[in-house]
Amino acid sequence: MFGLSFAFVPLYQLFCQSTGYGGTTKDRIDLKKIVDKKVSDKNRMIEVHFTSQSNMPWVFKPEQKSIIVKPGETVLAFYKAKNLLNKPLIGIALYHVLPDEAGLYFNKIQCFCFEEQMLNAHEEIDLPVLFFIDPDILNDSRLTNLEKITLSYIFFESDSEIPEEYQYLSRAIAPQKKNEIQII
Amino acid sequence: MDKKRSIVKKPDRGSFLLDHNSECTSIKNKYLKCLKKHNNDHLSCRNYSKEYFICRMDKNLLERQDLNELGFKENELDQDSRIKNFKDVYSYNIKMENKNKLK
Repeated sequence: MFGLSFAFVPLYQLFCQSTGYGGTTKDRIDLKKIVDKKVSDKNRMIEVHFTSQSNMPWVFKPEQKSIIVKPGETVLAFYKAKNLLNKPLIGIALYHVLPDEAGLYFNKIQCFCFEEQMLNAHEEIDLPVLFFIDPDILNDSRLTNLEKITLSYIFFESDSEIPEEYQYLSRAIAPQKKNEIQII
Repeated sequence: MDKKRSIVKKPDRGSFLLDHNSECTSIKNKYLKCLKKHNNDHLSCRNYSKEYFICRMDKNLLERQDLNELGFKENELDQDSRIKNFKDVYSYNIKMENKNKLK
């Protein structure tokens, strides 16, 4: 299974490079349309669970165990990562949705995945995710009794080179352990 | 090898910029605290999510945009947890389904 996941990394890097951060407005999902979609069981809720895995010396965890959402609502969730090493490290995250059929309806508006993220030495950072579940999930006959969706993230170390400036920067801003000089 | 194809889509608007100076961390903490208080029902904590995005926009960690584009509706108020009176999502859904059947 890990072999297959590793194969995805360069593929998704390719995706990111083609769209970038400021994608054209016409390609953006129109959230107003999603939010107003009419569905049969309007009051059905789903509990989204968050899990994580880290294949690198970062502590990487979700900051909430689960969030209860209604399909169509945009939801903010957080993960946290801390670089345990004495030097900057670049990671790249992938995510997976369970059950597999639910993945079709799970839409990320913005997150921290697929693009490389660099953490400075010993840095701890907030990693937000903004997502929504497409209301069409309520019309999918395979998922009528679905109460729980699991969002699972995994961080891999990227083999990209850290720009030289950052290597020296972390040393420069590291706390100085000199004794304070007292002026008498 | 397992041939099940799982669908993973790239995010619509890419990645969030990293908040290296933890400028919006305090608001994030308020949001997380609110979630715990309201049984993880996110709608009760809508104001904090809004505040978080406003903070990001103010600190140039997010492109300036109308909150509607992030899925927030006009006059959306923090509501009391929807499932506060239910043990879990399952019991809430069953109750709602029965309610709909009676109509």
